Amino acid sequence: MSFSAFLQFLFSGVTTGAVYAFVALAFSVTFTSSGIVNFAQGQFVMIGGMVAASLCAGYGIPVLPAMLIGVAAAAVAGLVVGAGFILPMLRRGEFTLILVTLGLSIVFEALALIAFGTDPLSLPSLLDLEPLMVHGASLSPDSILLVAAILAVLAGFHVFVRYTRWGRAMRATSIDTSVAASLGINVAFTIALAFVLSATFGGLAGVLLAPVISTGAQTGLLMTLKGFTAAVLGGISTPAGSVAGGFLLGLVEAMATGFISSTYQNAIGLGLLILLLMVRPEGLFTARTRRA
Amino acid sequence: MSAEQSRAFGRQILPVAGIGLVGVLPVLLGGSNSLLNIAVLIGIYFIVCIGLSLIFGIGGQLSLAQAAFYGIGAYTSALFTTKLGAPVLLGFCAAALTAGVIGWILAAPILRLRTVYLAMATLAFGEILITLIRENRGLTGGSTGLLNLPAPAVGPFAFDTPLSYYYLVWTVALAAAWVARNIIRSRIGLGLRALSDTEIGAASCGVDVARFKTWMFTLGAVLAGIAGALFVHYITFISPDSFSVSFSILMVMILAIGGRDSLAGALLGAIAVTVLPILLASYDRYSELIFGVLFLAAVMFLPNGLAGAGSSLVRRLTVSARSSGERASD
Repeated sequence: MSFSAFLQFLFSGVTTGAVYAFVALAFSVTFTSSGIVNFAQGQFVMIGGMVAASLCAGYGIPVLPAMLIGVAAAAVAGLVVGAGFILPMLRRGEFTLILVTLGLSIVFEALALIAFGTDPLSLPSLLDLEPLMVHGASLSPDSILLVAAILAVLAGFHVFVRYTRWGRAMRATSIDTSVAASLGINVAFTIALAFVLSATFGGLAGVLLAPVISTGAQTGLLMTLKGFTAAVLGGISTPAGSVAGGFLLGLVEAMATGFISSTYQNAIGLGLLILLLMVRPEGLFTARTRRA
Repeated sequence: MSAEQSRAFGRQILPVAGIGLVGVLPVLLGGSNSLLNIAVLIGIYFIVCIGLSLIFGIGGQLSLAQAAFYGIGAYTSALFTTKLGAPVLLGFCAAALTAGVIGWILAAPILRLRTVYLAMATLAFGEILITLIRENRGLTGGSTGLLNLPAPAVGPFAFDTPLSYYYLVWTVALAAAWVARNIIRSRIGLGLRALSDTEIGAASCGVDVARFKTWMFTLGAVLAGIAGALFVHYITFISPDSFSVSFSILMVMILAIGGRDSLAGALLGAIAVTVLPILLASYDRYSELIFGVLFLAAVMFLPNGLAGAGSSLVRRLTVSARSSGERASD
């Protein structure tokens, strides 16, 4: 393989890796605050992308406002999931919660099919710039934006959970719900907030990805799978670990495409997941803790 | 009749009534082929879900590998009969054996995982398998699959009509239900229930946790393998689309809708997910949405599924009937 081809695969791996990182971070946010793995997580990426792309294509709304509305739509969907479905079902045990989020995932996909149809849509680029040429490989400005965005969001989230009242409440809830409640933390609000935040991250990934790859109404479930794989690879209990897992999965898939074959791209990523679960269920980038 | 007596009576009468109903159902359906098709499909889903209700419903292990074993069984039988020219019944045996062996090998490492981790690992296994099937075009026919699979036959008699296939599928289903019913009532069933609550507690009470989980997973794989083989020889072709993640999710939905800890639940759920889409087909583009909303409602408002709701309704009716009977005799 030539060096420029290698670079091209590297760039594409980092780009998809950034999207996986967004979804993995979103998984981590709800998992650490409520212990829930949200099977509808990938649908927020779809909602953000589809709302923005259809507003832009169908109603001639400029790219930036369309993107903002797309993110807002995902955040509202997150609020509905968190406050409308998760909070009332919180005491019903893990399996019920998994099935509820699975049901919501089906409902979101069905709604999107009714609203947007089956054809994939794409969004014009936010930055109307020429792609960068690096040693014969092209790097699109949208990819750079995507990577910059996930790093900024991760840094922002880190500051949020360390230094703000709401963020600290979220950390306290994740350690022990009842102790947090006894200290005057509004646990229900905190969990709802975590769902809104995680949906916002998903929506952000969706609107930033839409200019790079066209998006369809049925892409949510695969995004859930990839995001969860990434989160488990890096360690779902730490935000930075999840993000690192996202980039790792993106790179592994891109290199598998480059060196082996594009058809086995998914199988290699998922095989890695099974192997890693066997060896290190806590994830690669977390401090090893002894589990009870 | 005391409650204990009536329960014992119910235990004896229900299986007989079930076998009787399966026997006369084609007559009740008026021999309509389209209705028999639906009954065959329900039977096939029921066989897969009997296995899943042991693993997931009773044992509490959320496996999304059912589609994979369904596919392994289906492809094993299809390849045996088309490439080797083996009789279909031999293909069925090979399907059960292959699915069982792979399930048994996979069980040891994968069942150490719990809840969502187990769900994701089993799902990943299914996705990898689908990719392998799609890409080995020479053997499996790739995305197009294999056509003209033969019908099973015993001597000169071939199961090539919906009616005869209906009896074949439901004989297997009833046999599987009978085996599962005995397992659920045995010490193994009790041990599975115990380990679904707490594995450490169950182990300290002498339950061999790893062995019980492994055998249930293997039995579930065997049943899914047989069901897959039954399915493809009925529709006479095979393609990877039938064995995707959505099939595993559908099986979990069946148990969620019907009730995950009883065989009646598996049956009611299988009927619901087969019949509902047909009833909803007239709503066209809204059918998927209505199905999703109904599923969500079942999960949220019927914690023990249709079977749980049904049995609590029966209990309430008998209690009120008995109390009104006592009042009348006073």
